[in-house]
Amino acid sequence: MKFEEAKKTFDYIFNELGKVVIGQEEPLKQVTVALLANSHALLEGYPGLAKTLAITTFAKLMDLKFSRVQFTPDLMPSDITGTYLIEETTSGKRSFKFQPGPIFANVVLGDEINRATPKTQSALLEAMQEKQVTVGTATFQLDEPFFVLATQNPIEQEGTYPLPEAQSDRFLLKIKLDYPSEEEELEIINKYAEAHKAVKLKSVLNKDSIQYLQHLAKQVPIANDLKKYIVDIITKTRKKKDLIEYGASPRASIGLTLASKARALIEGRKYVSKTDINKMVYPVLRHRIILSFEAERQGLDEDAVIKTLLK
Amino acid sequence: MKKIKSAVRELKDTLAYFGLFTSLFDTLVLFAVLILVFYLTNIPWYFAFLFAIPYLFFHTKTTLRKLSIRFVEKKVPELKEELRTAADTKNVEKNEIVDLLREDTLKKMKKIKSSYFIKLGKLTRQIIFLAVISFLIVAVSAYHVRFIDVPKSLFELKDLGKENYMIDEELLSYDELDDADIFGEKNIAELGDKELLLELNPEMSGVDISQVSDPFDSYFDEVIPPSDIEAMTDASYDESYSNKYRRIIRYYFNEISKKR
Repeated sequence: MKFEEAKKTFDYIFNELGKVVIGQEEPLKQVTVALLANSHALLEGYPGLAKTLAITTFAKLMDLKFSRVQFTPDLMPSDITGTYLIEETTSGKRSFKFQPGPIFANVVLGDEINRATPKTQSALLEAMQEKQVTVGTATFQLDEPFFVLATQNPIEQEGTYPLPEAQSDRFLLKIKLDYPSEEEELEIINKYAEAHKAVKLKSVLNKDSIQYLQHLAKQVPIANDLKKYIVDIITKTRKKKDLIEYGASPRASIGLTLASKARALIEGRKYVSKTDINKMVYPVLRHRIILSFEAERQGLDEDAVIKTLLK
Repeated sequence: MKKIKSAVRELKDTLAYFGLFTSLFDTLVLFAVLILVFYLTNIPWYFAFLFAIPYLFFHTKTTLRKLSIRFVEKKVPELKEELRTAADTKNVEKNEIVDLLREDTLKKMKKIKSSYFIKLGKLTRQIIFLAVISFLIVAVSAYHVRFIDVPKSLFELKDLGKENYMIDEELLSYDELDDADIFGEKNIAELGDKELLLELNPEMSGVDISQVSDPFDSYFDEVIPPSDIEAMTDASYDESYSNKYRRIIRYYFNEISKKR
């Protein structure tokens, strides 16, 4: 696949996604960015905003193994990683055989990750970081590409286990889904409240093409002054003590650079632009900064504080 | 890779040449203005170099800093962010996207025109201004036009604090006596009753009012009183006055009676 074909592929993907998911173009673009950056994304939005639908549709467009995990408080780590089961052969011999869990897929959707206990969350997060799973004494490598999309509900926080900041750092992006506009909602009603033929989707990406696109995304060049701009933003998060109690780590600098490069590739540009950085800084930094009491007192959320860092 | 390297180098060299040309021309204008001002104020013209050379240095530095790749990107919007990325990655090898970027950038660099770097309007105005200033310099030097004489004024300022005559402070010291009042001692006041004959010989005077000439500088190395002032009577010697004043008066008469 050449560079020009990559742009056409992305246009096709978003076009096909648009047939199933109305609106949400920007969040879907950001999900693609996370995939191209060979990382993971956390989606946060109110119920009913087509988070699960978007990701399942996205997975259908790629010829990849997809699995879904619904996180509940009673979910165990072995429910994610897999466990050993006793297997009896025809000759009557019994042995332990490893039964892989849903994590052994290329695209893993973790619904409502904040409902699971920290122990269960850590099983998933360990796999995300190491791209391998250890069960007992055996270590199993996960297939590449490995992409985790976790969802989170910002309301109904009672009885949930919010991801600690140190672990939410594993996600490259925290994507916020918002309510659709009036026109979009009308379109949703027309599409889903009336009898229509189901949309048939054709997969356009396979493992090799995705890995090639990930390699291509890393190759997108970035000017030196833009690299300094990125470092400047991240450094400011550590210095702006009046609004930010804890700033972002150097992992955020790497993440923002990779996300900007992936964004440039999706837009069909052969270089990173400042607009790419300004667009990607929000999902990259939202979950990596802890606001101070003063920011909360002023009623500022993470996006408002991040906006003050940009020139 | 070589193409983009040489293209970027050529662009930077061109920017440097234009920057240097602009600075030199601006400095030339300043130099001409300074020469005119120095002529009008009787300051030696070569002092203009003292101002022109530092100005050239700093102006060149700021101009070259301004004429960067970003300046080119502002003039050619199609190259925005693309040119500097290509320039920053000119040494990167084996990168498919960078190769494509270089191809695009090289094509778009053909749109860069020389007129982007030279402000023709400003240059024309500067040439006209230089021509006018040059004409004024020639006119001022030909007709010896001077508004103020700065070196002379500075020299006069320097001599303001100095005294013209050597005065022995001891001789001029005066102690107030008991019988002295604001008019001084009465016995010395009697001197004023005597007639003092002074003859001024106008023929021997060097001043001729009818003759008008240009003022000329005169520097007096010695303090010698005019020779045509003489004291004919010295009745003051006949008077009795205190010893300490005798020295003053004797000195005075000795000085005025000295001949050249």
